[in-house]
Formats: sequence, structure tokens, C-alpha cells
Amino acid sequence: MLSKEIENILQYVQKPGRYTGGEFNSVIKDKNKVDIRYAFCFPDTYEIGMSHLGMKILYSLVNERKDSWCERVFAPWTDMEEEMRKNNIPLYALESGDPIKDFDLIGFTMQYELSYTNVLNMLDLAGIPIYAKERKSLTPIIVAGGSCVCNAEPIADFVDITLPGEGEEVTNELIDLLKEHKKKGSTKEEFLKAAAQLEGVYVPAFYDVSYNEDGTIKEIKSTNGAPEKVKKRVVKNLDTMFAPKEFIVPFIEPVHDRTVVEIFRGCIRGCRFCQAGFLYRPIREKSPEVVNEQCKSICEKTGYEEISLCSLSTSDYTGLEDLLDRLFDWTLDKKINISLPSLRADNFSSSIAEKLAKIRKSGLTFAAEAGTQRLRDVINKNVTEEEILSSSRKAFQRGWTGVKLYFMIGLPTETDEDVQAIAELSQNVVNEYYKNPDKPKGRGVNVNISVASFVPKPFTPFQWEAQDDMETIERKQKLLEDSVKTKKINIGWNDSRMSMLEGVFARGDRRLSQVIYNAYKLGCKFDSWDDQFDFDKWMTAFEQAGLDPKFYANRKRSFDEIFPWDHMDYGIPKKFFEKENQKAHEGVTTPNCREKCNGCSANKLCGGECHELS
Amino acid sequence: MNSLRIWFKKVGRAKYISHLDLMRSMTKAIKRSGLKVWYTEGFNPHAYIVFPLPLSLGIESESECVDIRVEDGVTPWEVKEKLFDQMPEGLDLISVDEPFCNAKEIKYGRYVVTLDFEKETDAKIFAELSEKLVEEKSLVCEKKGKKGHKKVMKEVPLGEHIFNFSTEVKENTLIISVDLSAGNPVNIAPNLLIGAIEKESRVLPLYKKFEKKCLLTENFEIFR
Repeated sequence: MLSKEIENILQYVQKPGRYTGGEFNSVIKDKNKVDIRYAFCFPDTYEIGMSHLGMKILYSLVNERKDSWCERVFAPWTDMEEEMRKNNIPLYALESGDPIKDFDLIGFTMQYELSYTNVLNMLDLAGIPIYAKERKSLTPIIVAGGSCVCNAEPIADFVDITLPGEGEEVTNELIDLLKEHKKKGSTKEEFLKAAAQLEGVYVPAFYDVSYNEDGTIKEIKSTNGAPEKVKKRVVKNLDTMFAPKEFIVPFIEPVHDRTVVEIFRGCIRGCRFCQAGFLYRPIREKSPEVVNEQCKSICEKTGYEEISLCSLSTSDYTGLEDLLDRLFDWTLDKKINISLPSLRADNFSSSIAEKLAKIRKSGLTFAAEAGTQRLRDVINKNVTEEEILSSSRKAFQRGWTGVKLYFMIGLPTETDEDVQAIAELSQNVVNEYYKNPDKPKGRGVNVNISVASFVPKPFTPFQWEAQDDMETIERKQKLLEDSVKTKKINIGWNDSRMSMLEGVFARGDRRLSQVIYNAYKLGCKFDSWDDQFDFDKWMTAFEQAGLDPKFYANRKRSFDEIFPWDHMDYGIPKKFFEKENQKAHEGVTTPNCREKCNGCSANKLCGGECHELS
Repeated sequence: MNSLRIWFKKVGRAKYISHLDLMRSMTKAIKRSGLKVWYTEGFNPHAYIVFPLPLSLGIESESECVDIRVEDGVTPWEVKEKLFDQMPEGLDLISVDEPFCNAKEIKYGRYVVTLDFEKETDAKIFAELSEKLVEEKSLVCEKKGKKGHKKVMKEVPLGEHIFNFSTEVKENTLIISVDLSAGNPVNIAPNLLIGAIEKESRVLPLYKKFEKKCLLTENFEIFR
């Protein structure tokens, strides 16, 4: 229930539905009957956070426990923040309306480096000290998870614990442990020492980092009995893994408002730029029966009319045709639509396309990633121009009048010819449309190309590479723009300044905590929003901290350099990435995991066989 | 195919659900209920649902209604039973009937406005002022309107649209009961009226609560 004070300020803000809670399937419990209160925080707006599958999973998982109550918290937009601060209303959880500073666990999911300032701002809004060392009492414990915590160093000063890897099992273990220590009346330190012994738990305060004179890392030493290497958590069996049977049904429309069910984790592809493809290894599939049942349950309990199958590469799912048959058995009748994101251009098979023709047309997206075959070989995106063109051709023959193509610029070894080739490839797709004799009369084609700036990430073969500086990116953007000769091709960019910051924090060390703090103090928040992003303030924040963003973003590392994240173990040895990096520079591709095991070792995480590199 | 009118409350935090969001929520509730409703036959088939009169954001209501079309043989009782548990918090299902009036017959809305002031004298000052302004028929409100395709603010004189206005002060709370023009061509929400009075007043309420009691037809009879 919301207090009168909260209800009152809601009349002065845009989209008050973001702040009310009370949605269908949201969970209300008696706070006096639970031991652990968990605030699950998403450091962005309600609409973005409510689209996030990880939050839905953990929300249901924690609320399945009788002894715990998980509630949701999102970053209030600036108008709401202003009202809250003016009226002394601390950050509250949507289900109960209670201030989160009194909760036991406060969990942030970190999906994007540019949401770090929002974490700080949310802690401050909640009335919680921002620095971990200033929080002396056992609770609240601040936890962070999500893909960014594979290198949590830039936020090391603020969080008590991070959870590298998958959260389904370790969340329960952490709650059990905290419950036990609350009962015992432990100190925060006692609890953290015990927590550090759990697999998949990292306590940044228990690691001492020393630096060389040139700013690189000299040594990372564990203290307080914490493990030298923190191993990520992996759920072995996806069929028996916890999955939600229902979703909260938001009143206001989130970015994605539909049933989402994972079909597999991991990826067989090994694209060298792709962090997710390595972070979530090994590949583990959920069986079509289980996926089908989960889709059915969520649709029944939400009233959703769309199902999205979630994975890194839908068409690599071995059970796809089986699953589609099962789904069509009941969805057609109920007018429920199915969408398949992340289809690959090389295996958009006709039998799947035929099945897809039964359902409503949505956008088609092909990730080509680079303009030339040479560069696609470098990044190991094993798809050929002919495959992209033939997939487009098939799509146009089936009535599509537009496709979206994903590209990157700033990739290692990229030349101006590679950039210009993006325009040529896009033009060839346009030409395919006009070659189709059955094209709809009087309708042109739309080829939208989304051109991201490449950001080297930890746990990828490109983790040693220098990121193109902003001037180079902007020059390449201009070059590409000039190479596109038709209005049928629309180009979308990333802001080169945001990409630079993303790169700094992706591979940054814990000295950057000071920069994030400075930026937050200068008023930075919602940095991924064009209308909120203030680059000059960020530059001031670096200056105040005496750190140079170029050192982190634009410097090529040597193979023997110690990375800030070297004490994290995601199951793939540095040596594998080194080999992949060398192959990239030789332009040699690596086959996908089903064609041949390349010895990344990830299978050992699940106790499986591995043909490790010698 | 039969038309049915679903009556429900919109109270508590549900008052902040916008009209568009309410439509989507009702569509999903109907979908969850498994009721056999009639789907539109266009390119993008969807359940047919129509609100006789949208409610402004931030106003609670004791009696909102929405019309749906169900397949032959589906009874109001069945709709009530299946839909009851599917309604989100604050959108409480009251009853399901066959529509008695046509949406065009809506002429007025009956509202109760509760205003909390810092002290009783403020409540009294505001009550007296509002009585006087209503009596004089001089109040003007600003309302979002359209001029062609452009959105503009329009000044609407309220004099002809206020009926059965009464005030009651209980300690520092002022309770206003009023009927306001509703539906086409002019729809006046109670927050517009209070806003117009606030502009003339030197004391302002701390908290405002707006409740719609019911809709009325030409002769101030209840719209059913």
C-alpha cells in the first residue's frame, strides 16, 4: 500500500503508473511473517526493467520462499526524483511502498555499464550510504549481478557482494546464509566472510589490488580467506531449473510486453566480439516439452498474446521445429503470436520460414556485423554475403518489404574498405528486393542498418584490443554515411562518447569507483539516455580523479598484462582467448562447437568432457 | 453475439492507470478469464471492448463501465464469475449486465471531492470562496484541446457545466459534492473545477481526493 504522501506526489509526475505497483500477479506478503526482505533494483526506468527476464525469474524464485519477500524497485525518472527529494520520500519498493533502507538484501542487476551512476543515485535516494565501507550494520547488504559483474571492479567500492554467473541457485544460498547470520546476530564482516566461501559469490572488499607505476595492475591478493579465483555459478540442468510460471502484468507498457521463455543458455558460435557468447557457456538446452509448458502457463496467467523465445541464437536450438509444432497446437486457436529473435542469416531454413508464415509478420533482422568477408573472418562471424542475400531474398519473396541489418565499426584490423563495404552489402540487399518479380507494386524497400561502435569486453578474444578513439569512430561514421547512396538505407548510430565510456568501465579497475562517484556528485544519471547524458561532466569526473579514460579504452594490452578481472573464473582460460586472438589477426576462423570442439574448457563447469588446449 | 456491460471500481493506486493502459489491462483480464469474446475481424484481430466514458487519470471511481461483446450463450453471470479473480488490485468487479442506456445518453458525472487543509479556517475560506465562484458562474478552466491537428490549451467557461454544488466542512477537511457535464460535447473532470477555484484562492489544499460516484443521463437519472 502506498502512503498518502506518495499517492499525493504521483499527481505531479509523468506516467505515475511507473511508481504505483499493484499490478496483476505482483506479490503481496505480510512483512511480519517473513525473515528476509529483498529489494530487487533495476537501475533504469520501469519500462526497461519490467522487460528484463532475469528480474522476473529471481522475483518469482525468491517469492516462492515462505520466509522471504522480494519486491521491485526502479530508478525514478527525474521528475519523480525531484518530487521525492522535495517531499522527503525515500526510495520505496513498489509492492509494499516501504522504504528499502530497512530491507535485508538490496540487489541490483547490472546489464549496462552506463547505469552505474543510477545505482549510486538510487542508494542515495534510499538514504543508504553509497560506499560499502560506510555501511557498518549487517543489513542491508548490497548485491549486484548481471553480465557487467564479470568485471565488477569499477563498482567495487559501492557493493558488498557480486554474483558472477547465473543467479538461480546462489540467490537461495545467499538468503539462507543471511537468515542464519541475522539470527546469530553476526557482524557484517562475519557474514561476508562466510558468503565469500559460496561458489559464485565475490566480496570485492576482500581483495587487495596493487598497481605498477604505469597504471597497470601489479597484483590482486585475496584476504579474509576468500578464494583466490572466484568461479562463476552455472545451473547444470535447464529442465529442472527454476523458471517462473507467471509474470507480473504491468499497467503501463514496458519495452517488451510478452511471454518470454528461455530455450537455451550459452552459444555454439564463438563470435570473437561477443561477450555473452563466452560468459554464458557451456551450451545447455531446455527441452521443447518444458519450454512449451512454461509458455502455456505464463500465457494463461498473464493474458499475453505474444510469446518470445529467448536465447543468443534461436535457430541454433536443436528442438526448434519440434517446439514450434507444439506451440502451434494451442497458440493459433488462442490468437497468440510467436516471435523468434536472434535468427541467423545462414540457417533461416525454408521449413522454419514456412512455419513462421503462419504467424503475424514482425521485423526481420540479420546480424552481418561486418561489411567484408575478410573482417567477418577476423571476428569469426561465420556468415557469408551470399547467405545474407539469400535470406533477404527469401524474406522478400514471402512478402517482407524491409529488413534490419546489424553492423559494427571499430573492429580490430578494420580498414576504410571494410567500412565502405557495409554500404555495398546494404545496397546489395536493396537490389535483391528489386530483383524479386513478385514484389508488391508501388512499394519500396526499407533497409535499416544499425551500426554500433565496437567495444572490447572482458572474457572475449578481443579483451586485449584497443578501442577506436572517438575521433576515429566519428570519421568512420562519416565515411559510411557518405558511402550510402540511397534513401532506402537508413543508418542508426551509437553515440561515440557513450561507447567510449562503456569501454572504459567494461575493462576498468577499481580506481574508477572514484570517477563514478564524482560523476554522480556532478549530477550524472540515466547516462544511456540521450536527453540526460552529459559528457562534459564525465570528463570533469575523470579529471577530478586524476585518471585518463584513454588508458582504459584506447590502449592495446600485452598478453602478459594482469587484468582487473583476472581473479574471476568464467570457466574459459585466458590461454583460449589468447589463441583465438591470434587466429583473429591471422584471419583464421574457428568452427562452431557442434562442428568441432575447440577446447574452451567451459563444459567442465557442468562436469562434462573437455578437449582442453595443451 | 451479445453486448454486455461490465461495472467495476477504480480505487486506490489503480486511479493512476491511464485510459489506454486500462484498455490493455481489461483486454488481458478477459484473455485470462478464457471467456468466449468476439474478436474484431480486421488485419489484427483483437477483443472488442469499448469504454462508454473514459475516466481522467488520478480520479477514483465507484462505478466505471466497459462494454464487451461475447459469443452467443455466454451469460452475464458467467462473465462475472470468470472475470472476478482476473481483475487487478483496485479494479474490483461489481456486476455484469446487459447495457440499459446508450453511451450517448451520458450527460453528467457525479463527483465527491475531498480536500484536506492545514487548518479548519482554511477549509472554510475555500468552501465559501468556491460557493461564491460557482454562484457567480464566473469560473474558467484550461483544458487540453485540439485545433486541427495541433494540441492547444483551450479556455472553457465552467458556469453552464456545474450542477448540484454543495460543500461541507468537517474539521480541516472540505467535502464538495457536485455534478459536472460529462460525455459529448463537453466533459469536465472535477480536478479542472478545483484547479480553477485554486487559481482564485489564497489558501490551497494539502491533499486532494477525487471520486466519481456515478454517471447521469439527461434527467439526472443514473446511467446504467
